[in-house]
Formats: sequence, structure tokens, C-alpha cells
Amino acid sequence: MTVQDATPAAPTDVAVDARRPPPAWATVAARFGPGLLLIGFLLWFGLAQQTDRVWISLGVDAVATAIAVVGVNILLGYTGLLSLGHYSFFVFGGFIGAIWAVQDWGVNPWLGFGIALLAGMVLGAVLALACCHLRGFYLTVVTLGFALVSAPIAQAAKGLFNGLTPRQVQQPLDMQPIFDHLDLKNLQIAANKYLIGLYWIGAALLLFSVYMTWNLVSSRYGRGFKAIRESELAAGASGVPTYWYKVVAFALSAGLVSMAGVLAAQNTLNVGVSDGAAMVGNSFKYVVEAFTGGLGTLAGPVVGAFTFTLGFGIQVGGKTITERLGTAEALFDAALVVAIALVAPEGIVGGLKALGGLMTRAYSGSGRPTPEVPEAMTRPVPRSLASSAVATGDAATGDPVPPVLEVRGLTKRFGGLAAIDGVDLSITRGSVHALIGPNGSGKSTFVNLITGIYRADEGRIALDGRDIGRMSPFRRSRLGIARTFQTCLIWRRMSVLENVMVGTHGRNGRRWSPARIAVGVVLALLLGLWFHAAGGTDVVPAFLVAITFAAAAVSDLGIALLVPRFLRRDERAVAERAWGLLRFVGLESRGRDRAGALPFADQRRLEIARALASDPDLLLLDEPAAGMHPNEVHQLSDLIRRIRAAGITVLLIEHHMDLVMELSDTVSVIDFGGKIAEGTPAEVRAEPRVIEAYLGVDADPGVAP
Amino acid sequence: MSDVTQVVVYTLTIGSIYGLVGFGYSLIFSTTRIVNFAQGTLVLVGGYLAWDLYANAFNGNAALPIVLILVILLSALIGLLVDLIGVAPLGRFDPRTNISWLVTTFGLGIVAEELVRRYISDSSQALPGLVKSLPLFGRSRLPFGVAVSASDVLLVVVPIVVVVLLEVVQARTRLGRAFRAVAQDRQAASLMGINPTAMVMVAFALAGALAGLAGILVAPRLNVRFNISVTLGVYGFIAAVIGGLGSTRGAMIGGYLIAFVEAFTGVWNPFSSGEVYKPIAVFIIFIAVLAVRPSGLFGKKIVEKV
Repeated sequence: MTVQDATPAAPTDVAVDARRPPPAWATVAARFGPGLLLIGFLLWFGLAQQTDRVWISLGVDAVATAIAVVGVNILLGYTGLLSLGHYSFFVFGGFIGAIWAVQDWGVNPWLGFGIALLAGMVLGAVLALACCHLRGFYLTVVTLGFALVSAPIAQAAKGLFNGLTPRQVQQPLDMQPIFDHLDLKNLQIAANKYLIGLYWIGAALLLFSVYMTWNLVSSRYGRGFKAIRESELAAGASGVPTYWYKVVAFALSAGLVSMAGVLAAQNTLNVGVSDGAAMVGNSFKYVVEAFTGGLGTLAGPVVGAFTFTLGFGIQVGGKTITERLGTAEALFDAALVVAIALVAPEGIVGGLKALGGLMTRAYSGSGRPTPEVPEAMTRPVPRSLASSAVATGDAATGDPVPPVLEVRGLTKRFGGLAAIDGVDLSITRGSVHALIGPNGSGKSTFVNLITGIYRADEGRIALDGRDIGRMSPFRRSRLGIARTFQTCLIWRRMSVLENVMVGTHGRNGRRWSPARIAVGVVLALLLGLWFHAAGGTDVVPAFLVAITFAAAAVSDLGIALLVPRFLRRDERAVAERAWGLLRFVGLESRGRDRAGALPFADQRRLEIARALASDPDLLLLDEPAAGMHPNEVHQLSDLIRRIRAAGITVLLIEHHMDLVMELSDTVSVIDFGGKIAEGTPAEVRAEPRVIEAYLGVDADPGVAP
Repeated sequence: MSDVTQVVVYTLTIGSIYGLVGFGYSLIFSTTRIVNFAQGTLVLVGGYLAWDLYANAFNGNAALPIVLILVILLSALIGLLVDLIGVAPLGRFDPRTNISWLVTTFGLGIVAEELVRRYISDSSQALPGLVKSLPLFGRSRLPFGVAVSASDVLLVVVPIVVVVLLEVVQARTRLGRAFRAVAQDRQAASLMGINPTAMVMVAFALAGALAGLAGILVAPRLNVRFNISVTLGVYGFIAAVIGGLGSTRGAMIGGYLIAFVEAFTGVWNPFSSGEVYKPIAVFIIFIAVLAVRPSGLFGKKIVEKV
């Protein structure tokens, strides 16, 4: 029985259920339409414009830009971090992929794309490592600084890799296989053949980039990125290694941009570093394009990049839009992006989506029905922990049960004031332990200390006997501490289901299986042989590159990027688990809705489901009933009871005294940062110091149950 | 000039400009928790406004101090516009999750820069030293045979005076107390009858005025030109971070520190041309500070409320 079944369903749920699912073709069109449209457009453009030198050259420019903006979107759109120096990676990619690798290391030019992708990722990661532990804007300034120093570095590094001074691409790509398919009797086509070849390569790389992003956003990485964008604090507390994920997001986006740089280098056949202001200006252009197209959407970056390159190449009254804008283009771009950020932050694609939403309003959510969830999945504890719940029973036999959480002498000072002052607390496994105290007594500080959002000044925190006092929030989450937030930090622009899926982050890491390693070795061998035999690269560089590629492909990230979601069993298990938990808290009918659209009480339940998804030993509920209607409080108390029944220990911080008194096995009272009483609800209620602390409010029989 | 005096003069003059720009970042950050990415551009705009007023509007006849006052007022207005157009319409928001402000402030900076390029001048311009027209200063010669131009002296003295003045205002006046209250706890301040929105406007206007002042002061040394917007913008921020974002004095000291690093690298390094290594050295210092002590030398660690 779910909570929702126990009470009359809210009117919105009725409306959802009453709506028809959209027809199958509409669902297919919505899922695959944009991708097919892109493929169709790229094919049409390549075939229709191959005789026109201006347009096919613009086409190469457009696909290169689109790849770069797809990269920028991973960082800005999905992770919420702004870089103003990505053009440096574009130039770097050109250098390494089209010049150094080919001319200095003797690698086949075709491998330049892959090398630039990986090398860009490494350079990006190095830069991100230095600043991703800080707030987002520090990254923006570091990238600005990076753009600023790239010209000096280029000068200073004259001796390195034969220099970063402007260079010509000596060995352009050998595109004979593509030329074989071209109608070279057509003189115009023959004249453009290199550009045409480049266009098809670029189009393929663009599709590959979009495909990787598509896989990424529905993988644990993509969900983690979005969680960081929506609330980094909650992401960390739900087991997302926020620091590392930000580094990964930055690396990925830098890699894609640097791969785009190879394409541009092969197009213009020379590479050079411009001055800092120009590097920043070009980087900003990517941001403008991503914003215009639609941040955080798959199609947005492509639409944005094509609008500014191809769209602006259209002639209006004898002149292209680019020509008409002339020197005013920078002004126009900047004004446009400010306007979009203020008025329509969703961009073109967001606007189209909203329009589509209006047209299909008669239909329910996404049209896909709520899946059937196996009964076993609808319990908060699907596996191991059932046994530890039994351990509580041993208490009856007199054996001392080690506490789940043991806190000794915990102290936290803000300035001179001790918000928590030498608190001892020990929480029995399987119990509901309430922590109460007047406003400002230090309850929330206590929770933040336990979960690692604050660092304690003194004292010891032990989970199952293990000292966790110095660990970051995501590590503590992985060890079994889950929490909800007083201010209800759900990830508003993710679906309800995704919110819960992120919660499984901590305990669903992939392991290195022998099968995976075998695939990697075989891949490395095959690639190495191929590069050597077919590409004519020397044995050592060929195998070095092949091993790097293979390792990258079978890494966690590589799999997330390359294997589509519907082929991944682990993804299906995570989704099933999340559906089960939604059913447990009574939200399964809202699974595909945007989390921000839920009513307040449902958001609280969603937060609890998300916390449960990490299979916690200890669940911290920070004022879960704040702002709730009495009816909703009643549902909540039922939910907490069922959580305890599943064997999960609950630490409940709450002001609703009737809820506390009704549910708790033990109540601890703190005031002015120190513990003033502890015992069963009845004992605590009788304690004079507690009554004093609450100024007698709780002695009022009207409030006490 | 010997190497040592060269380093000292560079540190004190350029350092105080970095500090002045960094100070602007700190003012805005402490009231809003955002970074005004238009700050660097406002320096450039101030410089060009001064040149335009001096050379074109007054045909070089007006005394520079009058121009100075006009430019500071105009710059304050432009700073305020950044708030009114780019930040205020975003409403009450959490700067950590809603990142539109990054784009609006930077975008408005570019808009301002491009407007200058279109309507004032698109090339580098020289602005006469501010003090040649003042009677007291002629060519002055300091002890130890160091030749220092009067505008250099102003470059050193004025920022320090301004910072001290603003610190006194912050500490002693009603407005200053309100400002500090908003910086410490916006919500609590608004419950005490202080209007946080107004304080944010004051911060933006002040930061704009500081940038305009920096633009004029720096002109005799660097000329008025376009590539200073990114350079001073980034260096000013680095100064603010090294000193501790949100700390007044910290920004000045951070400014001196990175100017010293620059000058030092320019003079003493094993490579042939030191100029190239200056920004690299500053960037490395910046990364190191971020990695080791992100709250800076004087900044307090910011504890986020949950």
C-alpha cells in the first residue's frame, strides 16, 4: 500500500490519469525526430551545396562550430559552468591534431581527431583540477585567464613541440576514399573536392558528438552533471562526487572543442594563437550560440551554431546577414545573449519544446505508461540491509548492539560562537531518534556536521565504528548516510524519476569485470594493427594511440558515452529501483514530470525517495514536516514508520512535537549547542530543563499529544 | 632606472590599479555574492569617456579635474546600469544555481565596449597626465635620483586615499553600516529596515566609479586602449581573490602582490624576454592560491547557509 492510496488522490493526479497517451507515432517522432531531422539536413546540405564553394565552405565552418558548441553545452547547459576560454582548446586541438601529431610524431592525419579529443580532455582536466573545488564563477575566471595566457604561452613555448607559432598544415587529410564517390567530372565538384570531403567528415563527427551527448545525458554522469547544475549541495549529499564530475564535464567539453579545432585547421590549413581579447571574444561566441539555440538541450547547440553560421550566410537584398552586421556583429551578439538570458533563457529549442507542449497538452506527460515494478523493488531496502535490521532484535537477548552513529564531543564554532558545543550522541540501529530544540539551538548545524557539509572543529563522528569526520559529503553518502534538506533541495529541472536515479549514485558503481578488460585488450590490438597496417603509422605510435583509445573506450566514461542506454542492463536496474522507490513514497504516477512542478508536500516525499535510493543505514530528516498541512504530516508519519519497518535508522529533526512524540524511540534535546536532555518521549517531556528551554510551550497540553 | 626602483615603481603604480579594480569586485561580491564580469570593461569605458570629453567635447580646454569628476559620475551611472539591466531583472535568485548573471554581466561589458568602439574611438588614444595642469606639480624628482612623473604619484596616492576613505565611510556612517549589514546577512538586514536592493545599487555604482577612476589614472601609463578590458578585468579579479574576495584592503594588497610578481618576472628571469612570462607567472600564482587558499589572505571562509 502506498501512502497515496490511503488518502483521496490530489486533483492533479486525476487529471494526469484521465489524459490519453499520445499516439505511438508522436512518441517516436518526439524521441527520434530531431536526430533524423539533423541527419536529413546534413545529407541535403552536403548534396545540394557541393557545387557552391562559398556554401560548402560555410558548411564545414558550421559543423566545426556545432561540434564546439555541443562541447560548450555539456559544460554550460548540463553542468551549469561557464567557460570563457574554450577557444584556446579549439586552437590547441588544431595544433596537436593537425600539426604535431602528424608532422612531428608521424601519426596518420586521420587519427588527429581522436588524439585532439583525448589531449583536449587531459588539458581541460588539468585546468579544472585547480578550481573545481570552488564555486562556479572561479572556473569562469580561470578560463578567462587561460585565454589570456595562451598567446604568451605560445610565445614562451617556441621550443616545445617545434613551436606554437602559427603553422601551416603540411599534410592535409588523404580523402581519396571520399573522392572516389564524388562525381569529379563535374568541374565545380572537382574544384571543391577537398572541402566536400571535409564537410562529410565534419558531419560524421558532429553526429558522433551529438550521439555521445545523447548517451551521456541519460547516464549516471549526465544525471550527476544536471544535479550539480541544479544544486551542488544536494548532489554531493546524494553521493555524486561533485568535484570529479565537474572536472569530467570540463574535460569532455574541452575535448570536443579541441576535436572541432582539428576540423577547422584542416579547413583553413593553418593554425595560430591570437591575442587574449580575441580568444575570449571567440569563446564568448560559442556561449552566444549555445544560449540562442537552447542550453541544456541536445538540439540547441546545433541549432544555435547553424543559425549563426549558415543562417547568417543567407543573402538578404544582395548581402549576407554577416556582411550587413559587419563590425556591429560583436555588439549584436552580446546584446542578443543578454536579452535571451533575461527574457527567454530556454532559447530557440526551449521555445519550440514549449510550443510542442502546448499542442500536445491533451496528452499525458511523455506518453509512456508507468512501468510495472516488481514487488521486491518497492521496498526501501532491496538487499543486504535486511539482515542488519534483524540485528536490532538481538537487543532483546541482552547483547549490546553497536550504534549506527556515534558522536563524541562534537564542536563547531562560527567566529567566537560555538553553534555545537561538545555534543555526545549515539543512535541505536533500527530506531527513530529525534533531535529537538528551540530555533537556533544548533540542530541544523549538527546535521550539516554529520553529513559533511561543515567540518567539525573538534570531536569524533563514527558510522558503524568508522571515523568519517574528515570525509566529504559524497563519501559519507556512499558509506550510508542520506539526508533531506530543510529547504527541500530537489533538482527542479530534472524529472522526478531522474531525481531518484541520481540518489542511487553511491552504491551502483561499475566494477572492472574481466569481460570489460578483455574487450579493451582486443580493441587495442585491433586498432593498433589497423592504424599500423592501413594507416601507415609506425608500430610504436600506432599502438600507443590504440591503447589510449581502447582504454578510454572501456572506461566508465567511455561506456557512458558510447553505449546507448537501452543496451545497458545496469541503467535498467537503476531505473527499476527508482520506480520502486517512487511507488514506495506514492509518487509513481508523477515519475516523468518535471520535479519543480510537484506540489510542496510531494517534493518532500521525492526528497525522501531520493535519499532512500542510496540504501542508507542512517536517514537524516531535517524538518520534514515544516510547512506541511496536518493531513500531510499524517502521511509523512506513516511513511517514516514504514521506513523504520524496513530497518533503516532515522534521525528526525523536527518542530512538530506531536510527530516527534508519536514516532520516536529516543529523543535528544539540544539548546545553545549543548545536549540538555535525552530519553524516551515521556521522560523528555517531563524534564524541567526541556520545559524551560521551550519556555513552557511544550508543557501546554494542547500541543503535547 | 635601476632594476630595483623599476620593480618598486611598477608594483606601486600598476598594483594600485589592479587593487582599485579588484576593490570593485569585492564591493559587488560582498552585497550580492556575484562577480561583475563587466568590471574590466568599465575601466576601458572610463578611459575612453575621459579622452572623448577632454579631446572632443572640450577641445582640450577644460581642466582635467572637471573631466575626472564627470567621468566618475558617468561611470557610476554605467555601473548602475549593469545592475539595473543585467542583474536586478533576474529577481531574487541563488547565484549558485541560476547562472544567468555570469552571461548578462559579461555580455553587458561587451556591449559597452562595442558601443565605445563604434561611437567614441576604435583605436588606442593618449590621455594627458592628469596633474600637468595642476599648479603644484611640475616635473618632480624624488630622492635617490628616481625620476617619477607626477601622474605616477597620483596613481599611487589616489587609490590608497580612496580605499581609506571608503573604509572610514563603511565603519563610521549610517550608510556604511547598512552596507556592511547587507554584506553580512541580506535577509536579516532587510528585516532591520535596510533596503538590500538599494545597497546593491550603491555597490554597483561605486564599483563603476572606481573603474572609471582607474581608467583615467592608468591612462598616462598604458594609454586608453581596448585590450586592457580583459587584462585589467582578470588581473583585478585575481587581486581580489588573492586578498580575499569581499575584503577591501585585501584587494589592494593583492593588487600590489601580483604587480610585484609581474615586475619581478619582467626583470629577473633566466629567459630572454621577460614580458612574455609576466602573465604566465601571474596565472600560476592565481592557480596556486585557488588550490591552496581560495579564501585569500584576508578573506574569511564563507560558510553557506543550508
